Amino acid sequence: MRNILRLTASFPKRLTVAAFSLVALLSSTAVLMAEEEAEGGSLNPLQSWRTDLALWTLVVFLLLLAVLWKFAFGPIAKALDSREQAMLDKINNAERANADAKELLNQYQQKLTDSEQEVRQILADAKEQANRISEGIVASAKAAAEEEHQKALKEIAAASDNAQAELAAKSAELATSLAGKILKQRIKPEDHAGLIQGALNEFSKD
Amino acid sequence: MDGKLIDPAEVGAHVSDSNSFHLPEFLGGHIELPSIHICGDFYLQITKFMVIELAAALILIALFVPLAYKIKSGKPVRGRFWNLLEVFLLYLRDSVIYPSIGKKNAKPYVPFLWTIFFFILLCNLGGMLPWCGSPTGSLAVTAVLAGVTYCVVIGGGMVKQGVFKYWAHQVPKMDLPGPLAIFLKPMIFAIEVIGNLIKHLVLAIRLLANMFAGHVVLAVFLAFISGTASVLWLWPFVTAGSLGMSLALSCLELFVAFLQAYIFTFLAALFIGMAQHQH
Repeated sequence: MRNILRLTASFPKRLTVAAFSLVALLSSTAVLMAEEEAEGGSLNPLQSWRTDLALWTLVVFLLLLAVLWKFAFGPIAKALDSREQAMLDKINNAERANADAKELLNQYQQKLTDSEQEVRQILADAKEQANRISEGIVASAKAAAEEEHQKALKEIAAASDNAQAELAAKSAELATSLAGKILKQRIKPEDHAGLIQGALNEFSKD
Repeated sequence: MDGKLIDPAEVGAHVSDSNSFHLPEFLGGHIELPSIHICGDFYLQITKFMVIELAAALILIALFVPLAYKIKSGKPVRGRFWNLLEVFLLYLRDSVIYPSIGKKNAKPYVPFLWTIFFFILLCNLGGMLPWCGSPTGSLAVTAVLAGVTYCVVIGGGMVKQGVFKYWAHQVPKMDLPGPLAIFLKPMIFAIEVIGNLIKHLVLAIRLLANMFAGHVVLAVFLAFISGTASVLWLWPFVTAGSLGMSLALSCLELFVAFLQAYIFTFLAALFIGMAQHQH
């Protein structure tokens, strides 16, 4: 027995079983058929036709088919199809939603970059404007100061001219009066004025 | 035992149809099945296989009608058992039926092929139950199933291609000179039609032979035990060997039950697919 087992273990199992079955089947059917012939009955499956069983099978199978088609397999096939369709739709929707989301993200990123650029531009503009304004203020302040300065210089010059003229007049008068005193009344007031004018003219020539 | 190792009648009783169920005493012992009066002289003798077929049909209805209700909403079913059934259905549809017939044409045939697979499977599995048997081990059963398949195949072909065209397409297109065509074409037509019939007959014989042979072998192995009961020194060894082999063969039979149901369905789907297209 062990030898047989060892022998069979080395064969592919299915093959062994099949071979065994074949041998057993051949021998047993041979025995059975010999017996059948003796008894007159038939155990050969190809000879034991039963019309009642066939009709019964037909009726049972067709009824089963009708019932299952109507109440089970028909609805199941439909449900499986619709589930498949629903899954496909869901996958498609999800893919579309994903694409939309990506698109939206891109848009937002673009917007963000744009606005960043804009902010930078605005800041630069503002800085430039501020610079421009401050430069203007400084320039106008400088101009005003310069104007003030020139005005002051002019006033000073005028004042100094006046003062010089006054001083010249006074000193001429004084000199004249002194000279008059020195000449002891020889010069009349009219001569006096002529002398002053002459002196003044000479003075202003200088 | 009158000198014989195996009593064929004993073996035959385990594999062939009978008018009674032979149960152990505590389950009611020998139960004779009734003979029903139909009309006039017609009586229908209920047999073991008829009862098993009916049980198989009822089990299928009990399994798949609730599944249909569960699945109706279009949501996935919950629970291992229902998912298991769905796996069977989806596998058959997507890996057997659609590839054989083509997804576009297959839809109307899916329920039929599902039914034929599960009906054959349960009939095959009936042989694995104690005191029952495999109705598919009887030619009457497999021939009817093959016959129904044949009707579906040619019916489907005629619906798809048109009645005349279907039969005309049985003869492949050939460039034959006139007189030769008149002589040859009817012969080819006959060969094709008979060939198609034989293919379906073989469908019946294949299933029958597989189921019948498996159970005969099982019965023979078990019969060895009673056969050697009178030889005291031999009996224990034979019993151990027989039981071991019966166990192994039962496992094989379980596999064969599924395999043959699958093959029948697969071939039926192939034949339907072939009838959908012209040669």
